[in-house]
Amino acid sequence: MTKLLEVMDLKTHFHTGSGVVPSVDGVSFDIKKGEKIAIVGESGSGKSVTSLSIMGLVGSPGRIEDGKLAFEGKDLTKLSKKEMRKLRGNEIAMIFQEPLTSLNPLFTVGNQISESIKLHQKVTSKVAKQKSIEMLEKVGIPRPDKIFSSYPHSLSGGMRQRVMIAMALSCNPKLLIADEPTTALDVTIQAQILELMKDLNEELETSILLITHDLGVVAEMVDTVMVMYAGQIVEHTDVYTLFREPKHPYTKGLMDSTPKVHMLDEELVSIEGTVPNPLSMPKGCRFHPRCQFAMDKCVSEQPELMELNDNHKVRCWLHEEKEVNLHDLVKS
Amino acid sequence: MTSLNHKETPYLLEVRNLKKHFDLSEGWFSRKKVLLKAVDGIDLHVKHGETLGIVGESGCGKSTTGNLIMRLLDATEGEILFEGTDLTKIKGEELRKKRENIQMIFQDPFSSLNPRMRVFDIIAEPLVTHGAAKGKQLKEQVFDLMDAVGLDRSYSKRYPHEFSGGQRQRIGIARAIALKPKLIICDEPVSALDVSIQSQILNLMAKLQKEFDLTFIFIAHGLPAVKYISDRIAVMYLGKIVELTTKEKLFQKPMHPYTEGLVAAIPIPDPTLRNPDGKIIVKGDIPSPTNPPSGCRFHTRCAYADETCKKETPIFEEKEEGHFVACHYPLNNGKGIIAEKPVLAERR
Ligand SMILES: Nc1ncnc2c1ncn2[C@@H]1O[C@H](COP(=O)(O)OP(=O)(O)OP(=O)(O)O)[C@@H](O)[C@H]1O
Ligand SMILES: Nc1ncnc2c1ncn2[C@@H]1O[C@H](COP(=O)(O)OP(=O)(O)OP(=O)(O)O)[C@@H](O)[C@H]1O
Ligand code: SF4
Ligand code: SF4
Ligand SMILES: [Mg+2]
Ligand SMILES: [Mg+2]
Repeated sequence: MTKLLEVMDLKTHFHTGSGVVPSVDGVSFDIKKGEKIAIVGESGSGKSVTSLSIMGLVGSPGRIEDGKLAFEGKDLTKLSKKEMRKLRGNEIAMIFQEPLTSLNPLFTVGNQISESIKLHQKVTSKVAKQKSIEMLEKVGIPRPDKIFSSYPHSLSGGMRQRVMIAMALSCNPKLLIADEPTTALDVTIQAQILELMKDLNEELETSILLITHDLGVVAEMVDTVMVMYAGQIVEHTDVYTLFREPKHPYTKGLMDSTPKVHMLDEELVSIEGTVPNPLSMPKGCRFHPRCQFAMDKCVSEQPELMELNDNHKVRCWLHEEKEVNLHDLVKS
Repeated sequence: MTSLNHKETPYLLEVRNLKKHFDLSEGWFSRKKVLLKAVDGIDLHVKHGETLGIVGESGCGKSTTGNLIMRLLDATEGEILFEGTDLTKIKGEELRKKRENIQMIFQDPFSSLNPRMRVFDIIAEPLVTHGAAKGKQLKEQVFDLMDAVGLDRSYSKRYPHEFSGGQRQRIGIARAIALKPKLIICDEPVSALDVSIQSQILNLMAKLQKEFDLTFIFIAHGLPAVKYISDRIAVMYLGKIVELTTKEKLFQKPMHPYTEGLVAAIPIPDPTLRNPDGKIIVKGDIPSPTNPPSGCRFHTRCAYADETCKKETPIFEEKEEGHFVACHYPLNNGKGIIAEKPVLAERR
């Protein structure tokens, strides 16, 4: 698979009245063509700011301080506002958690999809309408010609999210960024939307960057996972390896505290403590105040994201000399 | 005790044919009455010391049910027997006395605490209002409660905004258990929290249940949170309970097609179990509660529906011991996500 997007040492900080918030602090990864990749992590860990940085949508007081963003080799940070706008929607599309805030209440659904098609492709209104209805049908909207002329508020949450997906996909983007696309939806509707995204990925080979805090959704959907904690990637590997043998204590904690719906006797072990205040990040490893394995070194020195092998990266001192198994470590 | 309002029941709480219809008709002269049947004839009981989970998708009537039991809303019809006393029939001092035994914990720990009160006073308030303690004794009790929910005593002089969501939920819980209530209604107490914090609160609630001999009604959107803490689970759909049984049976052998779909819709946190054959996906959208489908309300989305389902409302009845279902054709296929013989559980 060829690299579609490369993110290298991205730093996006917010300059607030009370200090600098290092929301994204040296994040690197790439997305290949047709790949489905997830970012998971707690609230405030920097998932959304990472995706907004890629889209060129970070507003004041935030700023990309450093790093490179390359899309098919083009440096995104060097593009003009106009070029960036052209890229958004055409090559990279994004859907958000709350579809109502991203749809204009004053225009019909059809108007918004066809406008977005016309903005990016030189087609007549008639063709745009035809294409819109086709897209609505593709995302499983019943009676698409009727929905075409409805206003967003008359649709249910699930329908709105489908409309957003139809709009996002209407220009055949190469990358779809979905920021918690199902968090506001009911579970039966969530299952429909996830299924839809999987189908589209297979059919159109659209790469997907999925942002979520739900490990269940991750396990169902993606090929590769990045776990973020306090603005940094702490673990990065394929989904099977991650669930079989998490190497970062935070990842393990997250798994142990996720309800196991498919087992009768489940045990919920929680991670004690709370997410650090971004204005005063802990020294050393940012997870050390909550880590059951913390050592002296963890308090004073920050670990780098180390490569265990070419498929598995982890930011933790435990594996410095040799790879250890956390399941065994807990037992002993 | 007025015998008129008292009925024999072996349960701590028994709800019979409970209804709440909201009148949405506009203006005094509107010809057509528009009723939103938020809760439309439900029956359930809660045994002393257990946790009854109530799940269902948004708008199905879970909070309304909780608020009716709490008597924050007046019922349109039905009985709410708490220790045998029908709460819908009593008022004033008698109601106030009974209500001391029922407390509530809400979803949003941000808005349910008074921002101008210190943690100490928030937790102390119910004790003070009901004259349960004062002076040195009050102080001791509040500190004991803070210990019980895992809040550092040094936090007692702080205000709610200085705390994280999880800590605020701990304050809410300390306040709710202050008067040693017999029943606590928890309306989505963990939905607004991060996963790692959710498990802290769930574990805390399980611990307090043992310690203080509490009985819970635990309301949630999805099955995962409810499954961990509940003994029995009621599944609601558009104002009705469609299935009610023990959590084991519900996950191993759901009998209602909606439950089957709800269980199948839960993403399983194990990639090796992805894409099972013939995965059931409930199609379509949740219909509007102002205009629910005829007959069985689930028929517009049910894969097993036929003509009978469109016309006749199925009765909520006990099909097997302790297993209540409202369906003309209850399932018997054992298509839960936990096999009766624990195949999945053996994997690890
Ligand atoms: N406009 C802003 N001004 C100041 N700080 C901000 C702003 N936007 C984001 N941040 C901070 O950046 C950090 C990362 O935020 P981000 O929205 O990326 O989190 P997230 O991982 O998406 O969390 P969630 O799961 O809650 O959506 C947070 O500490 C947040 O407070
Ligand atoms: N005071 C009210 N007036 C009119 N309609 C109401 C009122 N309270 C609730 N409803 C309606 O009753 C139905 C049930 O609402 P309820 O809040 O009980 O649902 P819920 O199951 O708790 O949903 P959620 O999961 O979204 O909290 C909804 O359609 C709601 O809009
Ligand atoms: S570096 Fe130390 S504190 Fe950080 S996760 Fe690893 S063991 Fe825990
Ligand atoms: S009564 Fe009919 S429509 Fe309703 S759940 Fe049962 S089979 Fe489905
Ligand atoms: Mg976010
Ligand atoms: Mg509710």
